Amino acid sequence: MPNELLPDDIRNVWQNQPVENTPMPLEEIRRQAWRFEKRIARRNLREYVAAAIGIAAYTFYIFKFHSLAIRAGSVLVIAGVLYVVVQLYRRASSGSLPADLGVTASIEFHRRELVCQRDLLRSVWRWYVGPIIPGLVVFTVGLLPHRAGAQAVGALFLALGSGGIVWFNRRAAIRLDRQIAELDNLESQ
Amino acid sequence: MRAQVSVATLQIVCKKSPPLVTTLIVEGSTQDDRYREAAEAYGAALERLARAYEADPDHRRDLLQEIHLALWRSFAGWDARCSLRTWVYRVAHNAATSHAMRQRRTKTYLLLSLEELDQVPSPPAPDAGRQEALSRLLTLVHGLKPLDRQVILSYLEGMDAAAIGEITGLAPGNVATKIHRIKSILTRAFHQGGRHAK
Repeated sequence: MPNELLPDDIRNVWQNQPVENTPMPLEEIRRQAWRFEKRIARRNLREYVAAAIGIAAYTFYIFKFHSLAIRAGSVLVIAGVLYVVVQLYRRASSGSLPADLGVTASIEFHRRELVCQRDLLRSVWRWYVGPIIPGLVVFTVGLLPHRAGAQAVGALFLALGSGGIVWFNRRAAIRLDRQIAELDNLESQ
Repeated sequence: MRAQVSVATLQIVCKKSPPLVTTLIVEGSTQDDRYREAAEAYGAALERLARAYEADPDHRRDLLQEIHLALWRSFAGWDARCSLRTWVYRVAHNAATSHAMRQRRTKTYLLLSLEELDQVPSPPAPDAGRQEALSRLLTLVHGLKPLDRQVILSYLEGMDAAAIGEITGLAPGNVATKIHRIKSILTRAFHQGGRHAK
């Protein structure tokens, strides 16, 4: 092989690289599709089981504690979790790639994926984190009655945690915005 | 409920995404027949494509399976509005881009555009055999942004600007400029004493 390769030589190296090229039988493809759907179903189930455990725990607190604030907080948390579960059910797909891959030019597909991710990051606070916060605040206040200092610390932790999530997601959304702008710029040229 | 929000685990997709279709008979040819034809004609090219998107052998195997699965599914909606080659490459690049985006949520590394790569100085190319040249080429391709990766791969597969434009959606003039840059980068990357490589 000479030291100096011209672009055509490099194309030749690329096209003649050894490949296995083992055909994938259709039965195997179907089996893969089935396995994939099962995997996604299991993942969705995990989310729902986690929600069910949360609901069970806060239902237990309603009966265990007599404080009105704890009971009200528990009810709010349960309502928040149910809202999130409904949103997950409405928004989550099977996780499969869309069927229009063959008719979508790659720049358009890439842009669409980036926009979806960005919108998700921007809205995740509204439907995934936000609905549970009011219940947790009321619950924390009920857990620490007559202890204003501890209540303030609890509220501060909640504010820092949720603020951190919002900040992290916004930063990621801004990065995606830059990539979308780059693609728009390429498309307009 | 998990306290931490992870987009990767939620796997939400845009509601505007078209629904999946499973089986359809098109122009007397079934989805399975179309897939067989495509896999036979482009199986090797798809393997090369997977290699260009995924350096890890296990992930690469997964990606190749994902591409074949996406291809088989896509033929349920085949309408012959473009050539089989364009269709196959669009599906493969789109599936691979989706895979790469998922991987990037767990790994952090910097990707460059062709324009940025053209500015990066590098050591001279070693006295290399085919394997070394291929490895060097793969390193270069792995570091590129998705769209530029698609352009360079299509170029390496022997396509012209019009075909690359059809697959990527870029204007032919834009593709021609990128090809010019690719040739310049490749020439310098594989030139003894040159200053560009990975």
